[in-house]
Amino acid sequence: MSKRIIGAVLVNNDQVIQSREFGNYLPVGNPEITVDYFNRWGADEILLIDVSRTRRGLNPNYQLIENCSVLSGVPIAYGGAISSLDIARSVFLAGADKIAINASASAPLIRSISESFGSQSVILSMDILKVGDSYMLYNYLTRECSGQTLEEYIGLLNSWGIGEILLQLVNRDGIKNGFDIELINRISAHSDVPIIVLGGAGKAEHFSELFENTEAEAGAAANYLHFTEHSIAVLKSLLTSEQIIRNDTLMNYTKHAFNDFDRLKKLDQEDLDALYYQKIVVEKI
Amino acid sequence: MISPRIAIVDYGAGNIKSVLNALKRIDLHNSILTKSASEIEAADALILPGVGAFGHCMKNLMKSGLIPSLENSILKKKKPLLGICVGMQLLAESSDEDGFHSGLGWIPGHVEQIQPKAKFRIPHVGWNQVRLVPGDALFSKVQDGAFFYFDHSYAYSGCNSYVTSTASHGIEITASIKLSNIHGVQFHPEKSDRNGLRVFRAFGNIFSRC
Repeated sequence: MSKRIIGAVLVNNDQVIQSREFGNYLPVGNPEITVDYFNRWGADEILLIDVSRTRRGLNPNYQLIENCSVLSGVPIAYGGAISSLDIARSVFLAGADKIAINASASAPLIRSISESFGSQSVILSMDILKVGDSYMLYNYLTRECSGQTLEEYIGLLNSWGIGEILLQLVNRDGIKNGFDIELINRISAHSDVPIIVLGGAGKAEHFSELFENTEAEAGAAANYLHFTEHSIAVLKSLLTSEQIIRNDTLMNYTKHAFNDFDRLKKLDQEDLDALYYQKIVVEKI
Repeated sequence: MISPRIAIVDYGAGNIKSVLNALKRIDLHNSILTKSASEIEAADALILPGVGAFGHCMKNLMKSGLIPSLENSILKKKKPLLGICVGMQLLAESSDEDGFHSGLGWIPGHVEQIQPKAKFRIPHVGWNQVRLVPGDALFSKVQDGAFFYFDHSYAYSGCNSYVTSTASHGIEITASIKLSNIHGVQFHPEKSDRNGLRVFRAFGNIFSRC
């Protein structure tokens, strides 16, 4: 099984945003274009999270989910304002392959979605705040922590029928200083389902650390992947030597040189010259 | 060449629009989603998708009343069929998912829970490499070791002569099966990027060659 690189698309009022510590939102652009590019660049999955719908008392933007789904040749997980079984059904009908549902949702709702659509289609999204040395479950709407300890909460999870856990550390959101390895190991020791981690990616090295030091199966990033050309293809090319990574798009940079910021270096003049005479046949599937 | 009329059977089994999207992406424009027996009879080739629990899908398929026309098209007229994920599992005789359930029984075999070794998590979700048994036309356009997207906790187990590819998740998992005109893939070609499109293209070509 290969480790997954997931392109996260955070949406606020139908615009992609850059987020920092769950608070500061900066506009980035159009969700459909982002999904299209993430696909071309070799994302293994798309995580589309709409942070504004619940807050504004709205249902999910089904049209947006459908538009993104049509453009995506890889799975799309959608999260945001899934407050009933009927809404979950509409989200799947719009083209989502999985749903991400916040840990503050009720256990019966999560269980009923899992029974109707299969546990493989349910991702439980846990937002976690580190206060001092302890980790606490955080509610992004009320901006408060729940009284439960993480271990108590995870103990409950196993009976809910979830397929994956999406772990987000609030303190690391948009900070680019790496994933929280200690937290991930604490969660994975108590859970048997695959774990996706979001929050903290700033270099390819952070993904290597994640996959080497934890059992997480997927690393997701938003800010780190949004602002450079071919970002996912470049990231994957930097990782392939150590992990099994799916790197079979038309963009492969494994033989290229990179600078300290994971940016591609210019090719040698000799290689550039050789490109002149290289015939590239584009496969028509 | 006229593109084949591929009917994707819509019996209320999850996200099937993405299958249609994928077929359209490779210009198989005569593909349709259908709930109608007459459209199934008129199709050149059929796709049986499936997402969710085995018992739930089988119940929906029986309720849809489409099984007689599917049997006529596939078992009698020998039209090519591609079962996807649970749609592939339904081809087997039975499954253990949430209790015992009978399947269509078109390919001998049984669907069982994956029992992984330690460190391998369930569901088996993500991109895994597929080891091909040479000779299946469905894989004529992909390389051995190509990546496909999987998402399941149960898998087909039965006679090896029906298995056309496998994936490794600590243990060996059946990735595809075939019995004459009946094909099944455990992975999701509609979500497997370009490799998935290559499989759909090969499936379309199976019809053209008939």
